[in-house]
Amino acid sequence: MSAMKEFTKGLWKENPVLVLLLGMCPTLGVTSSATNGLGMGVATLFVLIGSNVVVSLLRKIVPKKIRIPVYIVVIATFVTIIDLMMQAYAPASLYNALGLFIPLIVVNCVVLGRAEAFASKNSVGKSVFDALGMGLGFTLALVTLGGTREFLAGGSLFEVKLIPGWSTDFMLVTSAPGAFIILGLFLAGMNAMNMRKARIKGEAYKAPANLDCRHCNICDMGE
Amino acid sequence: MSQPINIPKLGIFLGVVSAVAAGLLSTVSGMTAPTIDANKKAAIKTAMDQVLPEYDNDLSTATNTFISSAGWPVTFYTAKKDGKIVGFAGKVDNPDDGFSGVISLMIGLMPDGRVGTIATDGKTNSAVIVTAQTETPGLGTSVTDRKVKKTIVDLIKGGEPLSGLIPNPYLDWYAGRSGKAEWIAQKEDKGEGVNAKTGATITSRAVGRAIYAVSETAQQHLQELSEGAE
Repeated sequence: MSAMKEFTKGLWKENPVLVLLLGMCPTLGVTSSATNGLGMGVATLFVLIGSNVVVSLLRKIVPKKIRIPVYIVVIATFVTIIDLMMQAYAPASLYNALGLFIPLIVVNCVVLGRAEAFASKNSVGKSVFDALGMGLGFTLALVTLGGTREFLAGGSLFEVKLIPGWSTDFMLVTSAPGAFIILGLFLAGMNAMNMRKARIKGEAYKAPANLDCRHCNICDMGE
Repeated sequence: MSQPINIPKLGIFLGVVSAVAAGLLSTVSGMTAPTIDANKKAAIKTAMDQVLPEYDNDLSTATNTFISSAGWPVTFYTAKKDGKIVGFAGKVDNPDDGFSGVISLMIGLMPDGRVGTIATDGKTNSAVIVTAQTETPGLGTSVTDRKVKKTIVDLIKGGEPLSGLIPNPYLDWYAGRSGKAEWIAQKEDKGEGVNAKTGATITSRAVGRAIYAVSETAQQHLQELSEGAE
Protein backbone atom coordinates (compact mmCIF):
# COMPACT_ATOMS: atom_id res chain seq x y z
CA MET A 1 0.00 0.00 0.00
CA SER A 2 2.60 2.54 1.05
CA ALA A 3 4.94 1.21 -1.63
CA MET A 4 2.24 1.95 -4.15
CA LYS A 5 2.03 5.49 -2.79
CA GLU A 6 5.77 5.98 -3.13
CA PHE A 7 5.47 4.83 -6.72
CA THR A 8 2.50 6.91 -7.83
CA LYS A 9 3.52 10.16 -6.18
CA GLY A 10 6.33 10.57 -8.73
CA LEU A 11 3.94 10.22 -11.63
CA TRP A 12 1.65 13.11 -10.81
CA LYS A 13 1.51 14.61 -7.31
CA GLU A 14 5.25 15.11 -6.99
CA ASN A 15 6.24 14.80 -10.64
CA PRO A 16 9.93 15.79 -10.71
CA VAL A 17 9.58 17.99 -13.78
CA LEU A 18 6.07 19.36 -13.60
CA VAL A 19 5.76 19.85 -9.85
CA LEU A 20 9.22 19.82 -8.30
CA LEU A 21 10.75 21.57 -11.36
CA LEU A 22 13.97 19.61 -10.99
CA GLY A 23 16.35 18.70 -13.79
CA MET A 24 15.53 21.56 -16.09
CA CYS A 25 18.73 21.19 -18.12
CA PRO A 26 17.90 17.81 -19.68
CA THR A 27 14.22 18.69 -19.73
CA LEU A 28 14.72 21.70 -21.94
CA GLY A 29 17.84 20.52 -23.72
CA VAL A 30 16.94 17.13 -25.15
CA THR A 31 13.19 17.27 -25.64
CA SER A 32 13.27 18.34 -29.27
CA SER A 33 11.62 15.02 -30.15
CA ALA A 34 9.62 12.34 -28.37
CA THR A 35 12.33 9.76 -29.08
CA ASN A 36 15.02 11.87 -27.43
CA GLY A 37 12.80 12.49 -24.42
CA LEU A 38 12.17 8.77 -24.06
CA GLY A 39 15.88 7.93 -24.31
CA MET A 40 16.87 10.54 -21.76
CA GLY A 41 14.04 9.54 -19.43
CA VAL A 42 14.92 5.85 -19.51
CA ALA A 43 18.63 6.57 -18.98
CA THR A 44 17.77 8.73 -15.97
CA LEU A 45 15.39 6.05 -14.68
CA PHE A 46 18.21 3.48 -14.62
CA VAL A 47 20.59 5.87 -12.88
CA LEU A 48 17.89 6.72 -10.33
CA ILE A 49 17.20 3.09 -9.47
CA GLY A 50 20.91 2.34 -9.12
CA SER A 51 21.73 5.37 -7.05
CA ASN A 52 18.65 5.08 -4.83
CA VAL A 53 19.44 1.43 -4.01
CA VAL A 54 23.09 2.07 -3.18
CA VAL A 55 22.42 5.27 -1.24
CA SER A 56 19.72 3.48 0.74
CA LEU A 57 22.10 0.60 1.50
CA LEU A 58 24.79 3.02 2.64
CA ARG A 59 22.44 5.25 4.61
CA LYS A 60 23.38 3.87 8.02
CA ILE A 61 27.15 3.73 7.55
CA VAL A 62 27.92 6.83 5.54
CA PRO A 63 29.30 9.64 7.75
CA LYS A 64 26.97 12.60 7.54
CA LYS A 65 29.66 15.12 6.72
CA ILE A 66 30.77 13.44 3.51
CA ARG A 67 27.43 12.07 2.39
CA ILE A 68 27.11 14.45 -0.58
CA PRO A 69 30.55 13.53 -2.05
CA VAL A 70 29.72 9.86 -1.57
CA TYR A 71 26.37 10.27 -3.33
CA ILE A 72 28.07 12.09 -6.20
CA VAL A 73 30.58 9.26 -6.60
CA VAL A 74 27.77 6.69 -6.59
CA ILE A 75 25.72 8.64 -9.12
CA ALA A 76 28.71 9.37 -11.36
CA THR A 77 29.56 5.65 -11.39
CA PHE A 78 26.08 4.70 -12.55
CA VAL A 79 26.01 7.46 -15.15
CA THR A 80 29.34 6.33 -16.60
CA ILE A 81 28.10 2.73 -16.73
CA ILE A 82 24.96 3.84 -18.58
CA ASP A 83 27.06 6.00 -20.90
CA LEU A 84 29.34 3.09 -21.80
CA MET A 85 26.41 0.69 -22.18
CA MET A 86 24.60 3.09 -24.49
CA GLN A 87 27.72 3.65 -26.57
CA ALA A 88 28.03 -0.10 -26.98
CA TYR A 89 24.44 -1.26 -27.36
CA ALA A 90 22.06 1.63 -28.09
CA PRO A 91 21.28 2.74 -31.67
CA ALA A 92 23.92 5.17 -32.88
CA SER A 93 21.36 7.84 -33.73
CA LEU A 94 20.01 7.87 -30.18
CA TYR A 95 23.47 8.03 -28.66
CA ASN A 96 24.46 10.86 -31.01
CA ALA A 97 21.41 12.85 -30.00
CA LEU A 98 21.79 12.27 -26.25
CA GLY A 99 25.56 11.83 -25.98
CA LEU A 100 26.14 15.36 -24.80
CA PHE A 101 23.52 15.12 -22.06
CA ILE A 102 24.25 11.68 -20.60
CA PRO A 103 27.25 12.82 -18.52
CA LEU A 104 25.10 15.67 -17.27
CA ILE A 105 22.80 13.21 -15.50
CA VAL A 106 25.47 13.29 -12.77
CA VAL A 107 24.38 16.79 -11.84
CA ASN A 108 20.70 16.23 -12.57
CA CYS A 109 18.98 17.42 -9.39
CA VAL A 110 16.30 14.75 -9.75
CA VAL A 111 18.89 12.06 -9.02
CA LEU A 112 20.75 13.86 -6.23
CA GLY A 113 17.49 15.19 -4.86
CA ARG A 114 15.96 11.72 -4.50
CA ALA A 115 19.18 10.35 -3.00
CA GLU A 116 19.27 13.07 -0.36
CA ALA A 117 15.58 13.65 0.29
CA PHE A 118 14.34 10.07 0.10
CA ALA A 119 16.80 7.19 -0.27
CA SER A 120 19.04 8.36 2.56
CA LYS A 121 16.08 8.06 4.97
CA ASN A 122 14.13 5.07 3.71
CA SER A 123 14.50 1.34 3.20
CA VAL A 124 15.83 -0.16 -0.01
CA GLY A 125 12.40 -1.41 -1.08
CA LYS A 126 10.73 1.96 -0.66
CA SER A 127 13.64 3.65 -2.40
CA VAL A 128 13.27 1.39 -5.43
CA PHE A 129 9.58 2.28 -5.74
CA ASP A 130 10.41 5.94 -5.27
CA ALA A 131 13.05 5.72 -8.03
CA LEU A 132 10.65 3.88 -10.34
CA GLY A 133 7.90 6.43 -9.81
CA MET A 134 10.17 9.45 -10.11
CA GLY A 135 11.99 8.00 -13.12
CA LEU A 136 8.75 7.15 -14.92
CA GLY A 137 7.30 10.54 -14.02
CA PHE A 138 10.41 12.19 -15.43
CA THR A 139 10.20 10.05 -18.58
CA LEU A 140 6.52 10.77 -18.99
CA ALA A 141 7.04 14.52 -18.69
CA LEU A 142 9.95 14.43 -21.14
CA VAL A 143 8.08 12.35 -23.70
CA THR A 144 5.02 14.61 -23.47
CA LEU A 145 7.12 17.75 -23.81
CA GLY A 146 9.23 16.23 -26.60
CA GLY A 147 6.16 14.94 -28.41
CA THR A 148 4.45 18.32 -28.23
CA ARG A 149 7.51 20.12 -29.54
CA GLU A 150 8.10 17.57 -32.28
CA PHE A 151 4.48 17.71 -33.38
CA LEU A 152 4.36 21.51 -33.46
CA ALA A 153 7.67 21.71 -35.27
CA GLY A 154 6.97 19.26 -38.05
CA GLY A 155 3.65 17.52 -37.55
CA SER A 156 5.38 14.30 -36.58
CA LEU A 157 5.61 12.03 -33.54
CA PHE A 158 8.43 9.55 -32.87
CA GLU A 159 9.83 10.61 -36.25
CA VAL A 160 6.69 9.53 -38.09
CA LYS A 161 4.96 12.33 -39.92
CA LEU A 162 1.30 12.41 -38.97
CA ILE A 163 0.28 15.42 -41.06
CA PRO A 164 2.08 15.25 -44.41
CA GLY A 165 1.67 18.89 -45.41
CA TRP A 166 2.77 20.41 -42.09
CA SER A 167 5.42 23.10 -42.48
CA THR A 168 8.77 22.17 -41.01
CA ASP A 169 9.95 25.68 -40.31
CA PHE A 170 8.35 26.54 -36.96
CA MET A 171 11.69 27.18 -35.30
CA LEU A 172 10.52 28.57 -31.98
CA VAL A 173 9.33 25.24 -30.58
CA THR A 174 12.54 23.43 -31.46
CA SER A 175 14.70 25.93 -29.58
CA ALA A 176 15.18 26.18 -25.82
CA PRO A 177 12.98 29.30 -25.42
CA GLY A 178 10.13 27.40 -27.08
CA ALA A 179 10.69 24.54 -24.65
CA PHE A 180 10.38 26.99 -21.76
CA ILE A 181 7.15 28.42 -23.12
CA ILE A 182 5.57 25.01 -23.66
CA LEU A 183 6.69 23.83 -20.21
CA GLY A 184 5.12 26.98 -18.77
CA LEU A 185 1.84 26.16 -20.49
CA PHE A 186 2.00 22.63 -19.04
CA LEU A 187 2.51 24.01 -15.54
CA ALA A 188 -0.35 26.45 -15.97
CA GLY A 189 -2.56 23.60 -17.14
CA MET A 190 -1.60 21.44 -14.17
CA ASN A 191 -2.24 24.25 -11.71
CA ALA A 192 -5.59 24.98 -13.31
CA MET A 193 -6.59 21.32 -12.93
CA ASN A 194 -5.51 21.19 -9.30
CA MET A 195 -7.33 24.44 -8.54
CA ARG A 196 -10.47 23.18 -10.23
CA LYS A 197 -10.33 20.00 -8.17
CA ALA A 198 -9.98 22.06 -5.00
CA ARG A 199 -12.86 24.33 -5.98
CA ILE A 200 -15.15 21.40 -6.61
CA LYS A 201 -14.28 20.16 -3.13
CA GLY A 202 -15.08 23.65 -1.89
CA GLU A 203 -11.67 24.60 -0.50
CA ALA A 204 -9.07 27.16 -1.44
CA TYR A 205 -6.17 25.74 -3.44
CA LYS A 206 -2.87 25.58 -1.59
CA ALA A 207 0.40 24.26 -2.96
CA PRO A 208 1.50 21.14 -1.03
CA ALA A 209 3.32 22.41 2.04
CA ASN A 210 6.09 19.83 1.86
CA LEU A 211 7.21 20.86 -1.63
CA ASP A 212 8.76 24.22 -0.91
CA CYS A 213 12.34 25.13 -0.22
CA ARG A 214 12.06 24.76 3.57
CA HIS A 215 11.35 21.09 3.12
CA CYS A 216 14.58 20.45 1.27
CA ASN A 217 17.47 19.69 3.58
CA ILE A 218 20.25 19.54 1.03
CA CYS A 219 21.82 22.73 2.35
CA ASP A 220 22.09 21.87 6.04
CA MET A 221 25.42 20.10 6.19
CA GLY A 222 25.58 18.21 9.48
CA GLU A 223 24.32 19.57 12.74
CA MET B 1 29.05 20.84 15.68
CA SER B 2 30.28 19.62 19.07
CA GLN B 3 31.94 16.36 18.15
CA PRO B 4 35.38 16.60 16.52
CA ILE B 5 35.71 15.78 12.86
CA ASN B 6 37.56 12.53 12.33
CA ILE B 7 39.34 13.41 9.11
CA PRO B 8 41.20 10.09 8.56
CA LYS B 9 38.00 8.11 9.01
CA LEU B 10 36.13 10.30 6.53
CA GLY B 11 39.01 10.11 4.08
CA ILE B 12 39.22 6.33 4.30
CA PHE B 13 35.47 5.98 3.81
CA LEU B 14 35.50 8.19 0.75
CA GLY B 15 38.59 6.35 -0.53
CA VAL B 16 36.92 2.96 -0.18
CA VAL B 17 33.78 4.15 -1.95
CA SER B 18 35.86 5.61 -4.77
CA ALA B 19 37.95 2.45 -5.07
CA VAL B 20 34.85 0.27 -5.36
CA ALA B 21 33.44 2.66 -7.98
CA ALA B 22 36.70 2.63 -9.92
CA GLY B 23 36.84 -1.17 -9.89
CA LEU B 24 33.28 -1.41 -11.13
CA LEU B 25 33.91 1.12 -13.89
CA SER B 26 37.06 -0.57 -15.13
CA THR B 27 35.16 -3.87 -15.36
CA VAL B 28 32.32 -2.32 -17.34
CA SER B 29 34.74 -0.37 -19.51
CA GLY B 30 36.67 -3.56 -20.28
CA MET B 31 33.44 -5.33 -21.16
CA THR B 32 32.12 -2.64 -23.49
CA ALA B 33 35.35 -1.36 -25.08
CA PRO B 34 35.52 -3.95 -27.89
CA THR B 35 31.87 -3.33 -28.85
CA ILE B 36 32.29 0.44 -28.80
CA ASP B 37 35.40 0.16 -30.92
CA ALA B 38 33.66 -2.14 -33.39
CA ASN B 39 30.69 0.25 -33.53
CA LYS B 40 32.96 3.16 -34.41
CA LYS B 41 34.71 1.17 -37.13
CA ALA B 42 31.39 -0.05 -38.49
CA ALA B 43 30.07 3.54 -38.61
CA ILE B 44 33.08 4.66 -40.67
CA LYS B 45 32.76 1.60 -42.92
CA THR B 46 29.04 2.25 -43.49
CA ALA B 47 29.77 5.89 -44.34
CA MET B 48 32.48 4.84 -46.80
CA ASP B 49 30.26 2.26 -48.43
CA GLN B 50 27.63 4.93 -48.95
CA VAL B 51 29.94 7.38 -50.72
CA LEU B 52 31.89 4.91 -52.85
CA PRO B 53 30.95 2.73 -55.79
CA GLU B 54 31.45 -1.02 -55.46
CA TYR B 55 35.00 -1.90 -54.45
CA ASP B 56 36.88 -5.03 -53.45
CA ASN B 57 40.03 -3.90 -51.64
CA ASP B 58 40.63 -3.37 -47.94
CA LEU B 59 40.25 0.36 -47.43
CA SER B 60 41.84 0.47 -44.00
CA THR B 61 45.28 -0.13 -45.56
CA ALA B 62 44.83 2.17 -48.57
CA THR B 63 45.00 5.54 -46.84
CA ASN B 64 46.79 8.82 -47.51
CA THR B 65 46.61 11.88 -45.29
CA PHE B 66 47.28 15.38 -46.56
CA ILE B 67 46.86 18.78 -44.97
CA SER B 68 44.35 21.00 -46.75
CA SER B 69 44.90 24.70 -47.33
CA ALA B 70 42.59 25.40 -44.41
CA GLY B 71 44.99 23.44 -42.19
CA TRP B 72 42.74 20.43 -41.60
CA PRO B 73 44.08 16.93 -42.16
CA VAL B 74 42.13 15.07 -44.84
CA THR B 75 42.34 11.29 -44.89
CA PHE B 76 41.77 9.65 -48.25
CA TYR B 77 40.80 6.02 -48.68
CA THR B 78 41.45 4.65 -52.15
CA ALA B 79 38.81 2.25 -53.40
CA LYS B 80 39.70 -0.23 -56.12
CA LYS B 81 37.91 -2.88 -58.05
CA ASP B 82 39.90 -5.51 -59.90
CA GLY B 83 43.02 -3.41 -59.28
CA LYS B 84 41.57 -0.30 -60.91
CA ILE B 85 40.84 2.82 -58.90
CA VAL B 86 37.09 3.47 -58.78
CA GLY B 87 37.09 6.40 -56.38
CA PHE B 88 38.32 7.96 -53.17
CA ALA B 89 36.61 8.58 -49.88
CA GLY B 90 37.80 11.72 -48.12
CA LYS B 91 37.29 12.07 -44.37
CA VAL B 92 37.59 15.54 -42.90
CA ASP B 93 36.70 17.36 -39.68
CA ASN B 94 35.87 21.03 -39.89
CA PRO B 95 36.49 22.34 -36.39
CA ASP B 96 36.47 26.05 -37.30
CA ASP B 97 33.36 27.12 -39.14
CA GLY B 98 30.37 25.29 -37.68
CA PHE B 99 27.74 27.02 -35.59
CA SER B 100 28.67 24.82 -32.64
CA GLY B 101 31.45 22.28 -32.55
CA VAL B 102 33.11 20.08 -35.10
CA ILE B 103 31.40 19.00 -38.31
CA SER B 104 32.78 15.73 -39.69
CA LEU B 105 32.17 14.68 -43.25
CA MET B 106 32.78 11.67 -45.43
CA ILE B 107 32.97 12.64 -49.07
CA GLY B 108 33.18 10.36 -52.07
CA LEU B 109 35.26 11.45 -55.03
CA MET B 110 35.47 10.13 -58.56
CA PRO B 111 38.86 9.01 -59.86
CA ASP B 112 39.29 12.44 -61.51
CA GLY B 113 38.76 14.24 -58.18
CA ARG B 114 35.21 15.48 -58.70
CA VAL B 115 32.71 15.07 -55.87
CA GLY B 116 30.27 12.19 -56.27
CA THR B 117 30.19 8.68 -57.62
CA ILE B 118 29.30 7.47 -61.06
CA ALA B 119 26.44 5.04 -60.96
CA THR B 120 26.25 2.03 -63.25
CA ASP B 121 23.76 3.86 -65.45
CA GLY B 122 26.24 6.71 -66.00
CA LYS B 123 24.46 9.18 -63.75
CA THR B 124 26.34 11.11 -61.08
CA ASN B 125 25.28 10.22 -57.59
CA SER B 126 25.65 12.39 -54.56
CA ALA B 127 28.39 11.28 -52.20
CA VAL B 128 28.51 13.67 -49.28
CA ILE B 129 27.58 12.55 -45.77
CA VAL B 130 27.92 14.44 -42.55
CA THR B 131 29.04 11.81 -40.04
CA ALA B 132 29.04 13.93 -36.90
CA GLN B 133 27.79 17.40 -36.00
CA THR B 134 26.24 19.34 -33.15
CA GLU B 135 24.45 22.03 -35.14
CA THR B 136 21.13 23.60 -34.14
CA PRO B 137 18.39 20.95 -34.39
CA GLY B 138 15.96 21.76 -37.17
CA LEU B 139 18.03 24.60 -38.61
CA GLY B 140 21.62 23.57 -39.13
CA THR B 141 20.70 19.91 -39.15
CA SER B 142 18.45 20.39 -42.17
CA VAL B 143 21.67 21.05 -44.08
CA THR B 144 23.58 18.12 -42.62
CA ASP B 145 21.06 15.35 -42.01
CA ARG B 146 20.00 12.69 -44.43
CA LYS B 147 16.95 11.50 -42.56
CA VAL B 148 14.11 9.39 -43.84
CA LYS B 149 10.91 11.38 -43.80
CA LYS B 150 8.32 8.77 -42.95
CA THR B 151 4.66 9.67 -42.94
CA ILE B 152 1.76 7.86 -41.39
CA VAL B 153 0.70 6.91 -44.90
CA ASP B 154 4.03 5.15 -45.47
CA LEU B 155 3.64 3.25 -42.24
CA ILE B 156 0.20 1.97 -43.17
CA LYS B 157 1.25 1.05 -46.68
CA GLY B 158 4.50 -0.48 -45.44
CA GLY B 159 6.97 1.39 -47.62
CA GLU B 160 9.75 -0.31 -49.55
CA PRO B 161 13.29 0.07 -48.20
CA LEU B 162 15.19 2.93 -49.78
CA SER B 163 18.31 2.22 -51.75
CA GLY B 164 21.25 4.58 -51.78
CA LEU B 165 21.53 7.87 -49.96
CA ILE B 166 18.48 9.70 -48.68
CA PRO B 167 18.29 12.96 -50.65
CA ASN B 168 19.32 16.25 -49.11
CA PRO B 169 19.33 19.17 -51.58
CA TYR B 170 22.05 21.07 -49.75
CA LEU B 171 24.50 18.18 -49.81
CA ASP B 172 23.43 16.79 -53.20
CA TRP B 173 24.20 20.10 -54.91
CA TYR B 174 27.91 19.29 -54.85
CA ALA B 175 27.56 16.08 -56.83
CA GLY B 176 29.59 16.07 -60.02
CA ARG B 177 31.36 19.34 -59.24
CA SER B 178 34.98 19.93 -58.48
CA GLY B 179 36.18 22.28 -55.77
CA LYS B 180 36.06 25.95 -56.61
CA ALA B 181 37.24 28.71 -54.32
CA GLU B 182 33.85 30.38 -54.69
CA TRP B 183 32.30 27.67 -52.55
CA ILE B 184 33.91 29.03 -49.45
CA ALA B 185 32.97 32.61 -50.20
CA GLN B 186 29.29 31.82 -50.36
CA LYS B 187 27.26 34.69 -49.07
CA GLU B 188 23.72 35.32 -50.16
CA ASP B 189 23.62 35.16 -53.94
CA LYS B 190 27.34 35.51 -54.58
CA GLY B 191 29.50 32.53 -55.25
CA GLU B 192 28.67 29.79 -57.65
CA GLY B 193 25.02 29.61 -56.75
CA VAL B 194 25.80 27.29 -53.87
CA ASN B 195 22.70 25.79 -52.32
CA ALA B 196 22.66 27.37 -48.88
CA LYS B 197 19.80 27.22 -46.41
CA THR B 198 18.27 30.48 -45.28
CA GLY B 199 18.79 30.80 -41.55
CA ALA B 200 21.58 28.26 -41.60
CA THR B 201 24.19 30.18 -43.57
CA ILE B 202 26.93 29.33 -41.11
CA THR B 203 26.28 25.60 -41.27
CA SER B 204 25.95 25.72 -45.05
CA ARG B 205 29.23 27.56 -45.32
CA ALA B 206 31.00 25.20 -42.92
CA VAL B 207 29.84 22.22 -44.96
CA GLY B 208 30.86 23.94 -48.19
CA ARG B 209 34.32 24.68 -46.83
CA ALA B 210 34.82 21.11 -45.69
CA ILE B 211 33.79 19.75 -49.09
CA TYR B 212 36.03 22.29 -50.77
CA ALA B 213 38.95 21.26 -48.56
CA VAL B 214 38.55 17.62 -49.57
CA SER B 215 38.05 18.35 -53.26
CA GLU B 216 40.90 20.86 -53.45
CA THR B 217 43.32 18.62 -51.58
CA ALA B 218 42.42 15.68 -53.76
CA GLN B 219 43.08 17.66 -56.91
CA GLN B 220 46.44 18.85 -55.61
CA HIS B 221 47.52 15.35 -54.74
CA LEU B 222 45.70 13.40 -57.41
CA GLN B 223 48.98 12.07 -58.80
CA GLU B 224 50.10 10.70 -55.45
CA LEU B 225 46.64 9.38 -54.67
CA SER B 226 46.44 7.50 -57.95
CA GLU B 227 49.92 6.01 -57.60
CA GLY B 228 50.48 5.96 -53.87
CA ALA B 229 48.03 3.38 -52.70
CA GLU B 230 49.00 -0.04 -53.88
